[in-house]
Amino acid sequence: MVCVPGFRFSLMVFALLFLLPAIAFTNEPARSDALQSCPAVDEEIVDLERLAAGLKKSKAVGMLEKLRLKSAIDDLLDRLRHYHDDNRQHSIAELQQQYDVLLMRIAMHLQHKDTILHGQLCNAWYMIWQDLEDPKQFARQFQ
Amino acid sequence: MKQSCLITRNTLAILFSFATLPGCHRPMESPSHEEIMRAGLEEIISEQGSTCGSVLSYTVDDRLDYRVECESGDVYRIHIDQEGLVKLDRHESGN
Repeated sequence: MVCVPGFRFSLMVFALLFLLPAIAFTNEPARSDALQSCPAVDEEIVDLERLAAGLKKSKAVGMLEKLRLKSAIDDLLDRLRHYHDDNRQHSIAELQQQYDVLLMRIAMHLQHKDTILHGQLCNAWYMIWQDLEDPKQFARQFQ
Repeated sequence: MKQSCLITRNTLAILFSFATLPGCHRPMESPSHEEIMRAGLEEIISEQGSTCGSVLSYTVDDRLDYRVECESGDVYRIHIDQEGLVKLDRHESGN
């Protein structure tokens, strides 16, 4: 097989153009097809504490359910705190699933009764998780 | 004088019982990932007014997309659509 320098150069260019972006793309957080067209909102929620504050004020959720959801949020934060403190009982993939199911529970309560807060939750879903899994952001917000 | 001694003795007994309670307390074991997930999915199904009982098992088909098998024999798909709405679809029933 004849391998001329020009051919090698072409191979390198091909690798740089096509393979590197593909490798970089795999570092993106796992996203599904869901939440691609959340309703537009005037004011965005940027962290879990603001979501909890919005939930506390919302009339869409009964008092007992608010307490249960607050307790579930606190439990998740405790587990994340353990994770970031290297006292790991759950993997980050497991914690992400627990976060998703908790937000599904909250979204279900809001979706037909408090559309504004539901829209804010929908838009912030991935962003809040990125802050929770990032040790620095988590420490800044919760420790 | 005798009454005040009794009060003191009772007070000491109460204080002693409170002081020894923490020694009897056993820390609760934290729930496993499976238990946390099953409880959360169970909440979603029951909140929608659907029958389930306890969740026997679940699989993750994609992020925000779960297939849940219930004690009742019902199988549900719980997922989120593009607008962030929680959808509960009943797949089949073993009954």
